[in-house]
Amino acid sequence: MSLWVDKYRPKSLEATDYHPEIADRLKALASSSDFPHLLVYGPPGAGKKTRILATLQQLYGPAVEKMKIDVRQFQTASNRKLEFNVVSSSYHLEITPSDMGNNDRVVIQDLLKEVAQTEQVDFSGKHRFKVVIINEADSLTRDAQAALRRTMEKYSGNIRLVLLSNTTSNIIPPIKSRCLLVRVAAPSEAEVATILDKVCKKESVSVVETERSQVLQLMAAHSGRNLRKALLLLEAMVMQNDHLSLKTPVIQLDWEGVIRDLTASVLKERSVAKLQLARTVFYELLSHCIPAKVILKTVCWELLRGVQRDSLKVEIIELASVFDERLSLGQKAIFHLEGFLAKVMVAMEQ
Amino acid sequence: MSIEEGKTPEISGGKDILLELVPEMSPAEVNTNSLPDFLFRANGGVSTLLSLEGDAAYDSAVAPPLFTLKAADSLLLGSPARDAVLSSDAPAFSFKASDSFLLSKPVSEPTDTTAPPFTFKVSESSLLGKPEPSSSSRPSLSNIPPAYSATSSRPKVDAKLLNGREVSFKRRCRKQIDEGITGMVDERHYGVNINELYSRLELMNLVNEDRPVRAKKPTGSVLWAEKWRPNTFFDLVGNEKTNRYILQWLKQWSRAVFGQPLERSGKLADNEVNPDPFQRPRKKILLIHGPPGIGKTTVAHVLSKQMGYDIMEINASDERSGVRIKDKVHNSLTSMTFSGKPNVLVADEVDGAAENGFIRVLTDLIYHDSRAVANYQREKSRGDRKKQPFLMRPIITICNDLYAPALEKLKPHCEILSFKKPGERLIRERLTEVLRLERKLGLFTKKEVADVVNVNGGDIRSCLNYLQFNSGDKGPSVSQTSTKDTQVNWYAIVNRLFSRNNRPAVEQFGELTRLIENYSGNNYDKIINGCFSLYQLVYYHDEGLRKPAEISDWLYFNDLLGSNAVVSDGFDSLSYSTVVVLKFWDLFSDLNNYNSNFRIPNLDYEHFQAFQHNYTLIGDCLNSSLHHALAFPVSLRVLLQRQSMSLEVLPLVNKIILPEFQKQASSANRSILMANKGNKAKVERAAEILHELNIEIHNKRNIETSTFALEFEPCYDSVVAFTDILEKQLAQKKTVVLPVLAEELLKFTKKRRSPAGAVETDATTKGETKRPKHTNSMDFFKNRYDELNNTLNRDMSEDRKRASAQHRIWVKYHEGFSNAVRKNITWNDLWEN
Repeated sequence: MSLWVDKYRPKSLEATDYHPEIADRLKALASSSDFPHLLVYGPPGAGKKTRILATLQQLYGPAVEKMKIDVRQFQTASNRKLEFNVVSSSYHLEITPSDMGNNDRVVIQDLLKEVAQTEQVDFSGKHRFKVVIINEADSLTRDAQAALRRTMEKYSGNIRLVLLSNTTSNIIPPIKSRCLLVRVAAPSEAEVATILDKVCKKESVSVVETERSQVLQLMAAHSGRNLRKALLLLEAMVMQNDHLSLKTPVIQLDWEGVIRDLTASVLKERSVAKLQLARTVFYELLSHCIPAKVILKTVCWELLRGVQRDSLKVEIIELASVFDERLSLGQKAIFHLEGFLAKVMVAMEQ
Repeated sequence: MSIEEGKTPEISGGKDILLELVPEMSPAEVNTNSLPDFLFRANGGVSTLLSLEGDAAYDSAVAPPLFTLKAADSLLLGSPARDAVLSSDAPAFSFKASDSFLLSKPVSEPTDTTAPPFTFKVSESSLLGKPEPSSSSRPSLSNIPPAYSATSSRPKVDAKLLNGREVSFKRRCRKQIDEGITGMVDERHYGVNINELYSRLELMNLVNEDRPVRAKKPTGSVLWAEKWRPNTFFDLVGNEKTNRYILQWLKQWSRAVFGQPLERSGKLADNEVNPDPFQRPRKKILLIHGPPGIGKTTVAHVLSKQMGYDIMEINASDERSGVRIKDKVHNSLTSMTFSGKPNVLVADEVDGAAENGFIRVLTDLIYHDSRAVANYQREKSRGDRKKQPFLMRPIITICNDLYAPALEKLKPHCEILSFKKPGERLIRERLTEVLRLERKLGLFTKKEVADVVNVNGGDIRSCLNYLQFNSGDKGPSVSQTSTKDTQVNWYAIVNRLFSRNNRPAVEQFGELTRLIENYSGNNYDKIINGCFSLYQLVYYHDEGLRKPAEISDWLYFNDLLGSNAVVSDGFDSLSYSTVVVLKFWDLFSDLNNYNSNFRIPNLDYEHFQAFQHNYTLIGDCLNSSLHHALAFPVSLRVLLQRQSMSLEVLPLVNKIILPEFQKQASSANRSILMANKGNKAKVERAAEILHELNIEIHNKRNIETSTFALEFEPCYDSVVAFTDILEKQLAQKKTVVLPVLAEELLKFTKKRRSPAGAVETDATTKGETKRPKHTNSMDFFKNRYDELNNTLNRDMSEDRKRASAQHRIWVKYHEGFSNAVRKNITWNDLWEN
């Protein structure tokens, strides 16, 4: 039996717990004879993938659930061999081209063309096309997106694309115009709490009955409206404690704790020593594969919580946005993270 | 053709000349065993046929005859190009104008008075060339009168070309002599007189010795830099403190190497007890770095000698690829030399690019040693120290560039010592001293010596070279000669950037600009990274944190330039990076940092490595490759992205697979633990998930403590845990939980595998109930097999039967990649369309 995240994933569109309007819409699309290219976007843990898999189920029946993973090899122009993983069922194909970095264009071109040029050999299938899911479409390079553009039109008889991304801002307009945009918003805390409640009942988790709703509410709040995180958190809490009550400490992730400690010490005192400390912390976070933007955001929010003056809050947010841009444009994350903190410290001193 | 006395020789070919050999001496002299000198002469008598270098050495008495006339009736001419044989049938030999040739010594003494086969002419002029023909008996021409006597009085008949042109031959003396010996062997003169060979060899040596006299420089033959290399501790120039430190460091080895008790000098004795069983220094390798020519190698040699070691030097000229060097290093570290002294390993020039193998050998040594120490501490009572692979000899490594990538792995194990250029005054004194001893002091004024030191930038070796080769005749003045082309290292620039002196800022700025623009590497990333790593550690004036805040804008500018260069090939914009570099000087330079030599931390590199490790660990969860299978199940995998893995999934999964037990059950006793119902459920659940996520529990060796402990495999702690305290807590928890978990996991996997698991079929997912066909077909064959078995072995005993019933059939089905669709179709489906 798998993790609860996997176990309680709704397998069909009807079973989804929130955003009924999206479910209805997708169902209508799937049951009509045609199906458009989709661009599904929304924050992590909102249920984009779940909905897409449910839609596929609607399109092709339960056989899509039978997925396997293959290693494909590609050759770049410079004759370098690349390994690439493709998840596929007989009806669909799933790729994460951002794993390839700058070589994603090759994958897009080769793989999609190959799929697009072979027709579905199915006698009684409802649809002649295959669905290709592209994960993390917002990290596709410009080249790859441009390569995608023509394929989407030319081979539209044989493939439908489903792009999944956190934001549409990195997707080039021509692609956006060829897709039907579906926004999957993060569930509200109440919705998260309801789902946690459901899971608790099914797994017969012992929660102190009088505090039940508050406990779940608290966990939902801690997950930051990320359902995946909420479910994992619940499971971890259950494994760590025998009974859940308001007194049981909500598990704090190590990386969050590290950032919290740092900001607390910065709020207390600002000096070069603190900047030195910040550097080691930032390096540590980066080497634990925490994305720089997430670090920046978390630092920013944590700082805002500890700051009283409104003008200072505005200033911090402004600085954060400036440095967020720098992180996007530049490559040396550590420069900008430290720069951000230095500037914030200067602002706080005034 | 034949040569006849006094006749013009015939020419065998257009370019060939026929020669006559002219004896200088009378046959009487020839008889006295001193071989006659002969001169090859071309027509005019002016041109030398054979020119012999080093004629001073040429003494006819001992001279090796250069020609051979064999006792047999043929004359062999050994020439690099060809041999000419003068035989009775064709008693002429010819040379090509360009030939260098060689005639071997006669074997028979030229006492023979029978007529030589050709005419010889006495040369009156004493020219350089002294070829020596020898006579041999030519029975066929015996009627000709004795030539020696006849030719001596006769006028010359010159050999000349048909067209009358004179041709001069040049021959290479060296070659001739060499071949004087080898030539004989070639000619199968097996009966060569050994004495003769010896005398020839002696002459050769004589010639070789004397020949360079002309070209020799008036100075001594040893380079001053070698000649005046310091031999004792007191000869060393500069770096006194460092030198003393090295001496102390070496001294600390004395106990381990010589078995001497270590006197604890006050300075070295730390409060804490040295845990090392031999009181060796904490860091077992000494790494000396500094610019070239200031005596790093010398110091290592001198001090090692001083401490009674022999030096085993391995430098860049040696083959240093891993395998080959390994034996060499091991031998040198475990054995004594012939002189009975222990070795010290001096590894010179370790910063080369191809040193990784060598570095690995060294780090392995350290690693084995640290394990040996750990073992020793654990088993102190047994004290079996002989068998442990302790490192018992000091190792000194020397490099120029401390920041070479090859050294990154080595540096943590090293005592790093920085060598600085000795002060100018010290160098000047030493140079003056050398000049005085070489009696060349008069040639240089004091100012010139100072100039030499300046020009060479404190590089003593180069100073000495300069003085040596400009002391012969007064060459161009120092200022005119080109300065030593110094290559400025990036770290030197970084250090420079944080220092400031009293001169006007504009001047310093200009100087720095020139320095940086001359920097050979055209990308300044290294410098800027270095500055970034260092600026927090140096001294500078600031109000609050204004300067770090300001530099962040500049760093962003630089980052943009770099990204721009990568994206759009805008490499020309990189030159603006100098501005950023200079901004560092503007903001962070200070008088207090003047001439200080900061160690630049390389956090970037360390964290990059950690990042890579974690990145691949996460990648392995999500992607399979040719050498490992997918860790996470596909159904879970499709839900996850790389980013969420590190942010939420792995940290929480790590908590899930390591359940917390009830307080009262914290004892390690398993039965008590499992008695608690909640605990039991948790363990079972955790085992399930472990199985699902392909995490195994293995006994792993901890490298630091070299103890065995259970550990997850793969272990995601490196992605999850941050501080050491948390890691320790985790480790503690693991010692309690993991044994229980491992047992449960084993039980679980066993249950999972057994085909009779009724539990499994009951609680299976939809997918499994949907394909009863597979199980049916397998059951079908299994039943058939059982049936057959039963019918065949009907008379078998009861327990045999039971055994066969327990026997399972395993069918392995390989799923390949195929997009083909598998579904059930009926005939109707096929025919109705």
